Amino acid sequence: MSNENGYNFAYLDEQTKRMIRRALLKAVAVPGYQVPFASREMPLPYGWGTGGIQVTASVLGPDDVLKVIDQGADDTTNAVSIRRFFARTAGVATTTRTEEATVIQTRHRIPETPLSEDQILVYQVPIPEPLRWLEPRETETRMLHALGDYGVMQVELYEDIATHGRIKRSYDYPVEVAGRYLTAPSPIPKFDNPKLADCPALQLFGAGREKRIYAIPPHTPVRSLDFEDYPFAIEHPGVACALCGDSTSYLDEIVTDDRGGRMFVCSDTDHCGKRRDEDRNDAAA
Amino acid sequence: MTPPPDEAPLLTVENLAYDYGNGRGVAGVDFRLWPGEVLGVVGESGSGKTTLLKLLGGQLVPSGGRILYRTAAGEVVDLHDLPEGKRRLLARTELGFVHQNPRDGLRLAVSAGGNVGERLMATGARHYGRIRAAAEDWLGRVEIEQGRIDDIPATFSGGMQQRLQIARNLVSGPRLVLMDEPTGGLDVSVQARLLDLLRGLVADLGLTVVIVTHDLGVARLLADRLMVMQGGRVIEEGLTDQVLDDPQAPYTQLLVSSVLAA
Amino acid sequence: MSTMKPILSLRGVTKHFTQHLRGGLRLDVLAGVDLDVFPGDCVVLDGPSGVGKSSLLKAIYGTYRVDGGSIMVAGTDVATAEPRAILALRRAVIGHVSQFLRVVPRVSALDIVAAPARGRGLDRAAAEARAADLLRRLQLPEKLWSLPPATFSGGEQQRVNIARGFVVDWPLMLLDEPTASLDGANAAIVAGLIDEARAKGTAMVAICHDPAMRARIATRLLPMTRVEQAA
Repeated sequence: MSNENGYNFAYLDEQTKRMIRRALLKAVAVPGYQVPFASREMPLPYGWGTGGIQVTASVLGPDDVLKVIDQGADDTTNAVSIRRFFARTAGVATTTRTEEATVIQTRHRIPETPLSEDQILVYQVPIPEPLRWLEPRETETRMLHALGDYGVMQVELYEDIATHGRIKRSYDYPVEVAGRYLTAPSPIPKFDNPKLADCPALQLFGAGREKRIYAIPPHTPVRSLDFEDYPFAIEHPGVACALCGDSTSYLDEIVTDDRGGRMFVCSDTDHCGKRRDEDRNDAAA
Repeated sequence: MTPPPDEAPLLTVENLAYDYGNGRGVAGVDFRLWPGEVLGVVGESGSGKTTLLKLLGGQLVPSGGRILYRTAAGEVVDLHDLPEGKRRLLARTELGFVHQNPRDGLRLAVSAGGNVGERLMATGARHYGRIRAAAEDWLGRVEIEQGRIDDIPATFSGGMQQRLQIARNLVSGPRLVLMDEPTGGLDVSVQARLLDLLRGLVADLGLTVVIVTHDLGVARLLADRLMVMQGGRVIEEGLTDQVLDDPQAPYTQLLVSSVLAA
Repeated sequence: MSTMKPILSLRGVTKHFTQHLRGGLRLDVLAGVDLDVFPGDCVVLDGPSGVGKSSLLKAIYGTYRVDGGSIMVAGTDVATAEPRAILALRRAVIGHVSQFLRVVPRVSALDIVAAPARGRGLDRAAAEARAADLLRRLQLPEKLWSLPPATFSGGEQQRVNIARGFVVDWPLMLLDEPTASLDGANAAIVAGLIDEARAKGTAMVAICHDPAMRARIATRLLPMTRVEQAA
């Protein structure tokens, strides 16, 4: 199945894809559980999304439409590079429109546009182990997961409140998947955490350097950790996007000059662009 | 009053052995411990007393024999034949282990309150306010100023760290507490304060304790019963005053006569 | 009196020491002691120094192991009982007043005296109230009550020791020279405490060298002679 560049469809050989798909099936069967897999050498270094790319490569078919975003934007260097990589090695159609994509690979954000049952969201994950900073030993974290022994994470949240008066972590906020496994949702802002739960799309997570794959099947309960008297809550600066006027989407803060000027803009470029297009159409109508 | 009704022992140790592989370890240890008793294990370095404590505490797996523990539910379990999950659950609810060096028994980067509250959080406590209140209560009971609840143990003195370790263990209301030279390495006045605290807590909470010590004065103060170990074996046992005032074995007599009086 | 059962019954109590550090030197201290003590008795052990009086008291209390014979206390043979049975006796049956207070750092005189009452289940307030009554009666100045006795005089320490012994009722009390470090007035107070306890049915075995005190408290003497050393 090699194209004129000598690569197999979507770069990886078929046996590798099978191996990854087996891991993906295991991951879907045990939601939130980190499945070890034999991560391959990819043509970009660790830390640049090799895990996400391997997962995408394994689920991509010739009729798929691929969208790639990095921090919500389709037009950053990495998103562009990865999109082009798959365009070359798989010849698939690509898009920036969330609702047109069948496979969306993302780094650190979930699209604002609600996903559907026909879509797969592939997350790039740096550190898949939510307990890693609390318990450095891999042997021990495996035991803790096996036993569902997550007190140490609760202690961490307690410390946040004791030190800062609230749970201060604002991204890669730990979640409990399907009432069982403690999972790191990758460094998405905690603002996005509610979208993890009961999502119609299949969510797959790939960590290339750490060699782990995990999954949240469609319509799975996902609970962000908290305390009864300090419940999980998302935060919003309370201002609207300077470009499209949305006051409910996740905003990036952009420094515009060196006199302290700044503006808030939707992080999801597709979402923002769509709203601006609608406004223009409304205005024209 | 006649002896107490035939209550079942809390801990039964049968023919316990551990071999380090170089001919050292412990062998043939047999004893039973009833609720509310404090058993002191004394002996010099290399006697096997710390090995025995580690076997009881689950840090070492016996080469022979068994350790039977009667849970709060009344079930008798072999501590080394339990599924790991159940063993860990017991270790953080009904059992306690106070290490000689408090740094081995504390999370040094976690605040005092977090250290004390951990057992509660590990068993499902999810209300910050109540967890914090329980931690404050326990800090008070071990005579740590409650204002230090958010300080990390690295800022505490050795004696305070040890008291924090004790609070961290006792917060779950354990029935059996193992202590490894809890006053070792502390200044004399600090030691006295800690011993006084331990005596009070043991009495107030009705704890059952196995305490390893090389200090016969500590043994006399805290223990109801003593076991003397030498070369990995128990060479004498009895009531504390029996063993210290009427030692039978040659080694025990040597041990007792070697203690300097203040 | 003959229909009452003895609270303490010794038969053939025998003990020797083997001093391994002295090459196994054998020291016989008790040989076949028999004794019955009834409620209300105060038996004073009579004999010169070194004849084994202290050893006999310690054997009854279970501190000293015996090689032969039986020591029946409230249905339990101390000579062969399990440690926990002896501990139970010490909590509720046998009270012991030693010659000198064993000093524990940091614990106040009041807490030392209140401890046996707490051990019997009294709450802190009630136990401390009883302790206070006794200390007052023994004329220990109130300003000393909250202090640990380590710096007290011998007589003050002994009064704390005695108060602790009498803060609860015991079926059997063992007293080892209870008044040796006290002046006449305080010794008389202790004699009063002994009388009251005996009137409530307490049986006592005591060591007392002072002839006047002995005459005051003893209902009976047990003569003891030096044991012949085995070869």
